[in-house]
Amino acid sequence: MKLLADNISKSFARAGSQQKLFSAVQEASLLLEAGRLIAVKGRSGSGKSTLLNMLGGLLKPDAGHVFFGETELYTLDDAALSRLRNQKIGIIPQGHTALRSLTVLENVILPVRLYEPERDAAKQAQTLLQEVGIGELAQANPAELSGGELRRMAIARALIQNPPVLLADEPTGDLDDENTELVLRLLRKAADAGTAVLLVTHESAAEPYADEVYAMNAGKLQFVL
Amino acid sequence: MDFIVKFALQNISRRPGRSIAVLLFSVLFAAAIFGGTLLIGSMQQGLRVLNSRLGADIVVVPAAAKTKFNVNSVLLQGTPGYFYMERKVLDDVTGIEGVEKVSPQLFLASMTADCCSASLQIVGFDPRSDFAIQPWIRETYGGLLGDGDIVAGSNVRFTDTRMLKFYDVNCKVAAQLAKTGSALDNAIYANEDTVKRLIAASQKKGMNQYNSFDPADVTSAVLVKVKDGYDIEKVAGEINLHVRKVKAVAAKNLISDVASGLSGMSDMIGICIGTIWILCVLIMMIVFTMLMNERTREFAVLRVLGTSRSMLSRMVISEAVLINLAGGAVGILLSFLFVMLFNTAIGNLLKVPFLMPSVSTILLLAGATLLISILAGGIISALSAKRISNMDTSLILREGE
Repeated sequence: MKLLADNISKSFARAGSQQKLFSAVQEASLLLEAGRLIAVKGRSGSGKSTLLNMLGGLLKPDAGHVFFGETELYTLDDAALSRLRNQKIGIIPQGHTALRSLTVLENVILPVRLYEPERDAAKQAQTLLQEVGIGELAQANPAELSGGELRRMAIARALIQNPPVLLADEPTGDLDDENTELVLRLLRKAADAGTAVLLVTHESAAEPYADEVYAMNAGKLQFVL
Repeated sequence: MDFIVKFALQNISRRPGRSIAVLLFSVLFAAAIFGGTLLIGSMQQGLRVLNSRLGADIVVVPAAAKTKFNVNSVLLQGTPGYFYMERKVLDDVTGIEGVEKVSPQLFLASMTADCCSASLQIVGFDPRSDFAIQPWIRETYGGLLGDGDIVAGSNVRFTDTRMLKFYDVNCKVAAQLAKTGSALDNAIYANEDTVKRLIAASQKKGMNQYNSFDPADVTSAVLVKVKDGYDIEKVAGEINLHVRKVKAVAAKNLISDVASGLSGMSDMIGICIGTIWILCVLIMMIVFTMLMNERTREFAVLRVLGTSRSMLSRMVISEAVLINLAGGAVGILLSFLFVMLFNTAIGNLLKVPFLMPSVSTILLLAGATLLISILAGGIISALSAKRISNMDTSLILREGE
């Protein structure tokens, strides 16, 4: 399974300004393949998250196409695109994204419950939580978790559907060195297991774990190594 | 159970602080709508029954009665009181053009003394000519009232013997009327002969301020039915012009004193309820919008995890519906209990007839209130959910940091 961005661009109107659009991503192309981890690095505001969101089916590009396998993502209606995202694309969003009304285990199972409420995914979720090192926190409330533990919970949640594609948006932001290394190792492990992983980050710590590194600068994507 | 409903229930139960705040607001919203409307409806129902019980187009009373008594109190509110005029007024009024039917009524007030069971207004009617009282007596009593028989208003208390004593004359309670919500519930009704006997007994005991007449020669009021096509006010004017020492009043004017008081009050309550409605809707919009904004990040996460716009809307609407359903039911129940427990006190306080609408009307009102509560919360939540669904998810997640 591959995810292809073909010359995609996205612009936004500048807040508070009546003139000109701000070009967040300019004609970016990227191929994400099974078993590979691609890191896109760049400063804050360089367009990395916009690129990730377009690849994840969350933000329609102004120009260009995004293909998931043979399917052009933005030809799908919202219901089909949402379902595809649920089952084929695992996304680790920026920041702390646990739902506070659910326990850690319930947060991890949530993607399954959305479309397959009868499927018992508790065992699988527990295994994933063990793998990311927070198995003992399964019944805890997210408010009791540290930042690093919440990111690991988000990784487990993104993997619960065994998606062929995993998109991680600043998964190591605000984490200490130990947690950063732990999270990067988990993403590498997912890639080694056959998942196509895209990691956007402003830190260089991810480079050793990546198969390819791109840089994003003022909306332009450039291959680095 | 559907996942979306389960999820909504989970969200409600696991965030008790937020849920209770919204629930309380929903209770207030439903209580204001249901309780207020029930209050106005009860007053209007009371007035309707009062109107139908009067049953006449014109009421003719002694001219002196207009100054000596509050005729409204005696005729409409059952306040014990009496006044008399010569019985020949009956024939004089019958002769006025436009008069279709006339019927005399004879009043007497019993006293709080050993001779009487209670202080009540006693109304005597002529069974042959009466068209005002007997129709609603027949609703509860099909027989003819014999001499000494009385029909009691719904508030009149009597023992198992069903006997009441007035000026040491024993009367048998043949039937008890349905509630009107007005002071008419405190009156008793009998045929004229019975009341004549009671008047004579009161005179004999020196307990009647009018001792110089024969009860057979007087009447207290003449109820008039006007022929179709005649103007009631004009016929009343003709009676005032041609019959001496009487005052003819169109019944609607008698009632209008009560009605205008009621109308003023119901306008005031209506304005209050309208204001509460508008305030509630505005506050509900603000509360739900704030609540939705507070949860923007949560909704963005759900979108990231694959929740479609329609699913997200259903989740938000389900939550709002469940909370408003519970809050609405509690609000309706509390305001119903309040009106039920204090309806007599409210009626006395407002000095208006107060009669609860029928069970079916109350159920209909409860259903409508519940529907409005659910719709208000549901629509506001759905609009917020739609707005959030259309926002840039990545931006929301970034802003939330």
